[in-house]
Amino acid sequence: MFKLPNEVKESIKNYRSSLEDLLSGKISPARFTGVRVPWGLYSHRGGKVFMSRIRIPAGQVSAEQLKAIAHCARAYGNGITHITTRQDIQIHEVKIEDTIKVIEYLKDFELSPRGGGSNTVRNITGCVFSGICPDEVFDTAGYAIALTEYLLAQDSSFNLPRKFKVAFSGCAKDCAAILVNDVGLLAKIKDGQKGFQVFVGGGMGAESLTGHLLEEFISEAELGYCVSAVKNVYSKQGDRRNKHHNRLRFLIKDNGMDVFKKWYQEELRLLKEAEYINLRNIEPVFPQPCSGDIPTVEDKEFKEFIKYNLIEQKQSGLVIVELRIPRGDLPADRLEKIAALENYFPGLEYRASQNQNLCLCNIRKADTHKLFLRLKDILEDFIYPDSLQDVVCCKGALTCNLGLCNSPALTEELEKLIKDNFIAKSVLKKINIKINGCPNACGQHPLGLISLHGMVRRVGGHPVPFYKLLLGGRKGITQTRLAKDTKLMIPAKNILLFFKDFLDKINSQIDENTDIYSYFDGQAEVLAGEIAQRYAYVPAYSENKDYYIDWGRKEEFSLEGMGPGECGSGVMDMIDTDLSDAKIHLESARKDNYSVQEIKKTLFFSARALLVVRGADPRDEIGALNDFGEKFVRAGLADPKFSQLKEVYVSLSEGSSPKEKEEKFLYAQEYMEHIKEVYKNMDPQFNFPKYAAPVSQPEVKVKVEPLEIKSPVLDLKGVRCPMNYVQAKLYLENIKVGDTVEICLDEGEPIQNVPVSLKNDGQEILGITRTENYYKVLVKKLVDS
Amino acid sequence: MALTNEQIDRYSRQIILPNVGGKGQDKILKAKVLVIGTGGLGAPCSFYLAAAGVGKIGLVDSDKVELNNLQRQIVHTTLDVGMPKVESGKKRLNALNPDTEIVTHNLRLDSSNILEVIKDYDIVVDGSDNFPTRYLVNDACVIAKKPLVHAGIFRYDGQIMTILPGKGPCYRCLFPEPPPAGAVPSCQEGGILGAVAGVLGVLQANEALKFILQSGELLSGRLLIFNALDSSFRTVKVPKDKDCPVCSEHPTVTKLIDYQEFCSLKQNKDCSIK
Repeated sequence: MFKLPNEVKESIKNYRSSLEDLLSGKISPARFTGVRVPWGLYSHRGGKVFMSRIRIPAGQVSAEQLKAIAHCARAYGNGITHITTRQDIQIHEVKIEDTIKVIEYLKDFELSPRGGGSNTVRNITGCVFSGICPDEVFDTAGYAIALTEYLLAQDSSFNLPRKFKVAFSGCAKDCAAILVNDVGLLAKIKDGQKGFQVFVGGGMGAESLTGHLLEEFISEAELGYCVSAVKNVYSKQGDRRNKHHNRLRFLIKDNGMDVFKKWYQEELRLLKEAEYINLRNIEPVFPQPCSGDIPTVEDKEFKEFIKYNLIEQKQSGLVIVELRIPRGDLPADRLEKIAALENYFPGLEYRASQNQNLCLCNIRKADTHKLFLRLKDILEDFIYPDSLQDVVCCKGALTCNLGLCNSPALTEELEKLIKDNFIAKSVLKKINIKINGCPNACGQHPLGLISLHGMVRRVGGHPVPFYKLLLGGRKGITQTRLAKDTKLMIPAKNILLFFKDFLDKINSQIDENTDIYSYFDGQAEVLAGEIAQRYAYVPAYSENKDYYIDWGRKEEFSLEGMGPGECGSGVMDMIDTDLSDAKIHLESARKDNYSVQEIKKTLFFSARALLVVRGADPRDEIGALNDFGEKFVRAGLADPKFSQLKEVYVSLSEGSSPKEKEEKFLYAQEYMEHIKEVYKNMDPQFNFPKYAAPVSQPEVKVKVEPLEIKSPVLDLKGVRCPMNYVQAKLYLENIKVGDTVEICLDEGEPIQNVPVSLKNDGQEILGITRTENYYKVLVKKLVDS
Repeated sequence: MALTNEQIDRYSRQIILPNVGGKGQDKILKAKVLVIGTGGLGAPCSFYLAAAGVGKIGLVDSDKVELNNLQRQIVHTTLDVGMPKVESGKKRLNALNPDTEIVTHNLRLDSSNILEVIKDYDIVVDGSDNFPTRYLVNDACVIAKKPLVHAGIFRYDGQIMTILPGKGPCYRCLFPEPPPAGAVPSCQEGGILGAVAGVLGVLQANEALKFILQSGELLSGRLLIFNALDSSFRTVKVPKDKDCPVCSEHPTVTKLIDYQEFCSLKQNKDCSIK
């Protein structure tokens, strides 16, 4: 069993003193965040209570430990425990002053949230059935535990460029999905010696990637060196500045595997010279085989339990009982009761699985019915683990600062739909669904055969919860494939309708013998596209508000409550949606003879994309172009050649010549590419590098209208606010788009207010010149306001 | 039609608005609105319409001003008691805005005269407080394809919906037939807070102005419900009834009906039109 290193136990006092500083007001909450998160303590939405993520190396947890966790959940949290997809167990809604009590209480049970968050070595995962799986090469759990002990003892493990995830699999089935970890270790035996094949640079989240082969084989003695060397290379070479692009996978992607290997070899050499790394030798203890059979009981439910929840162990006579824990949430009292089963079933061991389930191991076959009856007293719904019914899902927007959609509420509805319609169908055992409330991958959507991730789209200016559909994800050493982004976006409120049709259709097309992966690589996407189209439509806000309210919520959907650092994700999502829309319109323009409307839309979405990070939320298209001019071009963040966006936009009409349309199309394309470039250079604080020296006094620059054009004069000297603006507005109503007028305004309020108001209407201020005691403002009419 | 300087000044605060401007103001000045009832709803509604510069406002009412009206019917004053409501209203609205032409219809609407009365107007605002008139107005507007802003008030509650014949649902889609006589207390029995009438009457003016300006979202297919005690508004979706007795494809009401006055206090003329 895992032993919490003394270094971690010792460092608890540091946490305590920082917490005291926070509570006495000596340090700010923002500063404390930097202390708290590496201790696995995340703020819940709203920032008032916290989640504590307790690491469970390889998912192996004792009855005592489960009881300790249950105790903390009840004494300090909301009484619910949550099993994560990385085999951690979380407790929720802990008050800040109680976080230390959780840490101290758990320490005596060799448990800790240390490294549960931030830029640290995260929970090292392993096959949930290590040591008891009939297929494994050897039991890897001891290595995962020993490696955790080694890495947690080092300070350097808590200040990496970003998080660092390590996983072990005992065979090529790859239950731990090592190819989507920063370091993946696969059990291998070479010349009778135990060791590992090593993969690096996999990961899920923004831009998921699968790992590359680093070492064909390392002996078990080299394990500590190998992982440490990778960690050190990452620590030295990783880009701490760019938080959106600094996982190990990006380092490797940017530099190539060859360069990375050179760094690694060098680091390995240095390590071997400098250190003697000897991981604790943990001898696996295997349970004793026994005799006896599953009793025959005429109970339909028990038969389903036998069929779906039981897995044969490599020790004969023993089985694993996998309990489906819906959405990973398990009330503390039930967890305690499950832990107490140890008294009735000698040798019982517990494992937390990547499917957010709890596994009971070493159950004698003869005891299965006895266990079943006890389980029925404890849990309501535990049959059909690891099936269509077992939807994996993150915690979602109710608790998570990053969350966009309330994924657990949707999942619960979806589970009902599956229960009512798809039990005993072919799809039940063949398909799995993973749902994430945002594009990050706590719900492991890149590995789902059918996956969703939450997103936000705006319809008529109102945010609407949407999910994006991904298909065909799977794990396995030779076959790991990240789910393919189908680009299909479905309103959250139509997801159930979509799934009903989609699963019905799949079910009619497959049977027990279908190779489900080739099915998903082939026709599934087209089918999904056809069905998604039926459910893509969002009625106007005035027509049906329901679409603007997320599952499990009463109030309208909004991004409200996303934390300051965390809101980045929502913002990024909005930017990506606009850029994706711009691209779609550009393509439509290309296909549709340079359609004027499509070109205009391309300009609009490109212009709006980045405005959100500058605090602008333009109401309409001209507003977006205006705002872009002000916040990007004139601020010197974008190429000045796009200062004439609006002219291009306005001058483009159905009557424009084909040649002109083509020119404008190319302009729009160039503009969109430019925006992408500017976006790429955005830093983690959402700042943009200067494109060129800021344009000074842009208003005075007369670039479009040659000076010789003589504009009529509207003399508003002596007319007070707001009558001068009213007069100017009425005047502009009666001239043609494209015409100009020179307006004379007094200094003070008039010159401060009138040009701004006209600009807000969508008109352009070509220049302002001061003459004696008044101002001449040259205005070009761009829109009928 | 060019705005005079005085008009620009008078309407400047709304000319400034996006979607109004000189052109929008011109639309308002050319608009013709019929306000049925010069009472709790009609008074505030016509007051704001006149203030905004609506070119022609028709007032329909057959009653005379009574002292108990003044608690809510703000176009009338203490000196007007005994005067026909439409005359009192005309006097006050003319004083407010000489741009607005006020046409008075000192009569009680029935199946024989309603189509003639509504035909000259762009939109009808129903400020009546009794079911016979309400159904008559709805049916007439559906038949004549006149947009109609319905509102009703009772004690601390109010509701409003805009009816666009041929497009959205009508009042009968919501309530196909009038309630039986005596089933619903009249406002005189129920009482009414003046401010509630004001809120709903002004909302009706707002709907009429949006219709004139062709901007925003009308309350078509949506019933807005106001409660004064908890100061809440909520909106209920109203679908078009495919079996609506008057506005469906197979209507059963094909000519106007004079429902029998069933107000339990029908002898009291105050009960007819508020």
